[in-house]
Amino acid sequence: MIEHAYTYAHPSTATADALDLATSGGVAAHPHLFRGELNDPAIHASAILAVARTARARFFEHGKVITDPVVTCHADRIRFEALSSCAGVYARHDALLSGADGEVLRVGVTNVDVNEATRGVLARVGGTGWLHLAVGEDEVQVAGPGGVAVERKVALPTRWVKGFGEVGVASRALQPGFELSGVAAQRFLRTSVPRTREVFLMPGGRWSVAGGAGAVAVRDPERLKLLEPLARFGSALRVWGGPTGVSAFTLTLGTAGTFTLVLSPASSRGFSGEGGSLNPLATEALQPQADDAELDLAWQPKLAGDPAVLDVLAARGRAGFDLDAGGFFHRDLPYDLTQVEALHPRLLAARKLVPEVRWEGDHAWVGQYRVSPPACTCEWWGRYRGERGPCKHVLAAELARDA
Amino acid sequence: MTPDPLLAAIIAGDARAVVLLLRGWTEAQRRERAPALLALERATDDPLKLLDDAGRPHEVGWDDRERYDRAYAQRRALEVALVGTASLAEQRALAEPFPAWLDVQRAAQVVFDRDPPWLADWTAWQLRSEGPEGRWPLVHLQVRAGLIKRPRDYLDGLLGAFPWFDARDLLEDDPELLEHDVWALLCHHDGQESLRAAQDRGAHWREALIAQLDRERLIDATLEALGSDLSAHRAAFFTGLWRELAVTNAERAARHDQLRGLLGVAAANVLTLALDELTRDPRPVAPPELAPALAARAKRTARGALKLLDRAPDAATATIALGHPDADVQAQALDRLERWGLTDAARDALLRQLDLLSATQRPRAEALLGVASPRSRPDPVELDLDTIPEAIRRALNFGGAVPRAPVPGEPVLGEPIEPIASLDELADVLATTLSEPWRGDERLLDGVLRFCDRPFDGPLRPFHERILDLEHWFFSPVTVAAVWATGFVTRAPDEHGSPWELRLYEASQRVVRGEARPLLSLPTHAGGWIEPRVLLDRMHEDPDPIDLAQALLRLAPEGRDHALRRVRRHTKRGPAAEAARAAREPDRFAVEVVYDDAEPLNQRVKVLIDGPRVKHDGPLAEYVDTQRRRWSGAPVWSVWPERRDIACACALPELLQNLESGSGRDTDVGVLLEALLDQPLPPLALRLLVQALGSAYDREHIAAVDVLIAGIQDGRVDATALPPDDLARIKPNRLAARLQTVADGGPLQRAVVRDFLDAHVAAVPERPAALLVLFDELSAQTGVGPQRSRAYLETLSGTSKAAKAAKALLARAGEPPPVEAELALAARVRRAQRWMG
Repeated sequence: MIEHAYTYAHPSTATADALDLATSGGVAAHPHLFRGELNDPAIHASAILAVARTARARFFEHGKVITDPVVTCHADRIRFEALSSCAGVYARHDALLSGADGEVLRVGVTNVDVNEATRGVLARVGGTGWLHLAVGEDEVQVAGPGGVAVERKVALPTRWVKGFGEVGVASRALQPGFELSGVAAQRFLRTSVPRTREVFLMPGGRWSVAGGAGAVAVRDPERLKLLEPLARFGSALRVWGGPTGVSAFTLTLGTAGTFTLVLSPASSRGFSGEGGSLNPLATEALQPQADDAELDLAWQPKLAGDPAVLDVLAARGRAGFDLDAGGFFHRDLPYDLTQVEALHPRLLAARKLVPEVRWEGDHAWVGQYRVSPPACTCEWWGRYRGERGPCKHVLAAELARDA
Repeated sequence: MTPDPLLAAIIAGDARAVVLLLRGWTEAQRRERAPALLALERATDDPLKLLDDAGRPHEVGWDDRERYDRAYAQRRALEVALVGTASLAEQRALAEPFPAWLDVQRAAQVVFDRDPPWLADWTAWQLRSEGPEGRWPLVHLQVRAGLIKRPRDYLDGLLGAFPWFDARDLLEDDPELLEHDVWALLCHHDGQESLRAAQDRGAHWREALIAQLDRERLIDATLEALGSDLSAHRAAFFTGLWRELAVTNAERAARHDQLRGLLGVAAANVLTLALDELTRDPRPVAPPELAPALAARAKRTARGALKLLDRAPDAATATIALGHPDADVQAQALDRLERWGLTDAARDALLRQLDLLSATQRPRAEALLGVASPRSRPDPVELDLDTIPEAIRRALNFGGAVPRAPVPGEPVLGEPIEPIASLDELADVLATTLSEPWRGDERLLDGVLRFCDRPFDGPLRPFHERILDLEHWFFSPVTVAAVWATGFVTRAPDEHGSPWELRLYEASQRVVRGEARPLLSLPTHAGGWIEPRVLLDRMHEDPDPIDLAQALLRLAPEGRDHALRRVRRHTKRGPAAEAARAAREPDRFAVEVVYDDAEPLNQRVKVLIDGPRVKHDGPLAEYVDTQRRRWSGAPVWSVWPERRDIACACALPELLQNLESGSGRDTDVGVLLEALLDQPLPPLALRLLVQALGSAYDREHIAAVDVLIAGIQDGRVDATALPPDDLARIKPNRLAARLQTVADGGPLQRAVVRDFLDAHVAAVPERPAALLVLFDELSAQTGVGPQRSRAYLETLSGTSKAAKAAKALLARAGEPPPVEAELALAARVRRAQRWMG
């Protein structure tokens, strides 16, 4: 657990045509990132609500978590993102600023308060016209003796912080599956979703247990229901998949932006445990390059560079992945990221095992375990077969070989 | 009857009355009563005794449920009385069950009323005990006494304390809760617990709130909660509360704005409630506010939104409902467009929707737009029949109905299955299986048997310790590997051992002897088949009888007789002999499915298998003798591929419950259905597929759709092959939705579903509307009128949905276009090409 305090100078407020989001931490204590008018208020309100709803969602039993959405302001877009409380679903709304009458006051990242009252008003935003959006305020009003009006101290689960990094790495590994356009996408999102563990989505939008050409594996698809309230705004839905069981859906919201939903390989599996970021973090040769790349980070909406190095940045919590754009973007999670490696017990355990590694030709022995990367004879490998990243023995063997 | 009210309350088992009686007593009065109550406790304890009306204890047996329950209630009332009278030391000295049986809620009330100096110690003591009722009353007691602040999970604890307490009693006994806690509960939406879950557990929160809270404030709080973006599950508590409040017209009218606000909420049940309420108010609703409801999944919601839109007509907004897949909703939206006329925005929206509109509604949309697009026809198919030998064409009945499976001579082998070829590969499979060692398949068993003459070492060495640590309550290929590692068999199956366990035992004994041989019965191809020549390669002088029996049942038809002759000397007796006879003459077993709808669900279907008597335990016995099947209703699908129809027949009763229930359960039938994907589909398999379309269990109906789409595409299924026997047992709405998905699979699938409905819709005894609407839609899509169902359709009259659909169908005419026959022939060609390899 990471002790974290969300401190807001005032609660967020909303009216039918204005959304003032209180900010906490990130590039400043209460940064003021954006102020202006966004077109399509109903779309943005619904999308921000969908992100907040994802943050509150639990598809698997875990303790209560207060997870305020993370907002990143780039020059051309504002991204609202969150992981579900169970850490198995990632949602992001990319609100495009082209056509908006607004001002990016500062690029950067923060948390925003989407409280119950705000959610209630957002649910009622509809129609046409404009939505006045303010992410932060010029003058932070100190509302109470403690200096803040809203303060929620939370024991932020490590799985939540780790999960963001894992989503970035997992998203980059996804392959485009197929696209449903316009009305077909809307209709698909309105149909019922099977309550079954492993199923495939066929290119036309039909669910199948057999799969077939072009099919994308989707695990525990009932989590897709989070997209349903956005169905009517969708102008295209792209489906992404890959061999690890992670799937993703990017819903184009006309010219307003894009909503991304990434599903872990099971509702019982938070992204934090997927282990996709372990290899980037454990590859010693990449770390200096990643350190150099960090120096160039300037809230770019699309980062250039070696994807393997950018994976390291994502694993460190400093970049997210934009599936539609096909690239990473700069986003420093507004939490203490200095201890990211300490959040990965498998990596820590692997480092301790390095002295025990004995390489014999193409395989290594780590204690009693025989390692032929990526395979191992341990239970972890047997159970997941690399789907959740390397086991600690494989990591240790690789670390020893690199040393 | 005792004149002492306290004793009377104890004898009545009424802990609440005890609390009320002790309320207001001085400490001296309490202490005065304690000795007698302590004596009563000792007199009724261990074993528990029942007090008669005079307060005399009597023995009570555990099996006398009614008297025991009364004694239990008396005991709990007595314990509450002791908490209200005895000292802390006296309570601690009581026997062990005391804190475990304690009625915590009443005890907390009585001790709070008493307010002793040891209240904090008592609470701490009770919090440490493992009572059955949750500890919330104690935490609440501490909060009320000012000992602690409300903990973070206080409200979750309150909700989680049910169903042990009734909220009606709770609020009546503890009015202080009404000041703060209950109102906080109405805004408590992010906790682990919810009012909905507590209500479902029987806590009567709704009733308690209506009885105790200010009505106006409660109505407002309910609306506030409904507008808080709750999940549909949690919102259901508040929609129910709203309905039970029976809000008056005046109350509703005063909250028109809040109700309109609910139209943007994501939860479908909240949206429906908002629409219902706004419909009861004569005022219009601004069209943009209705957009979410018009886009709702529920037909009722979309239709309700259109009705509300009538008060403030807006054609562009009405077009949102055209996105609904239901033709009736589309029709109602088009009604509005025809009445109101098209604005530019509505025209654009209608154009965007045109391609996905139902075929039955599309002409209306085209008329509105002034466009006419030709009906899309499947592309012509180029067929090269000359490459198909005449014998195959005849066997597959080219140009005619799909022949009944199995078709003699048609190859059945699916994808090949490669056995484990090296110790490294075996280690890899073992690594995976060890995470769930009670599983493991025949491929692993085969791998163990192939290498068991070598030391359990090399790449296997890392597993040695874990294998030794295995528990021994199960038999699996991993336990056979354990025999290899240890050199001895720990136990044999008992007399109830299944054929699979007997095979594993056979294999274990072979491993002990170090006789490395392949498993005879490992399928060589998907579908569970064994290529006969491979079995001959695997054969040796000393085959295990049950393994051999299983192998013989799996022999693929081509070359089977030759293989059976070659192994004749090993099949003279025992299960292998019976299996050989069955493999040689599979048709000697007849299977019949008999329904008796008067019987309870679990006995409604009888599967009658008639054939030669099977005397020996083994796979054949388990397959054809339902009495010997101990672990599951349906046999394993791969035991006898040639007669998979028997497995399908046995699966039918398993499915029945899923046809009737709302949510469905995993019956394992899905595994059998998935195995049919590329296999021959005999009549009983097709019957199972049709029935599975009606299953409430998602995996089953999705698998059935998969198989039907694939089967139609490769010429194994047509409309004539699909049996109508079970149409009366399937909910028509479900069947229509699943048939729609099959029809969406392609033009040939669409034609097959249409023809199936044409042939058999008359067999649907009740509520055929959904099927008729689908039939009409498919007929409109293909330009084909009903043929065989005309007489039935003419019997449907009136204004019902079914009658309207029937009328629309009767107005359609047209023969199936030639391209459909070409598509059917192309499917048969694909099947023939597979035959030809």
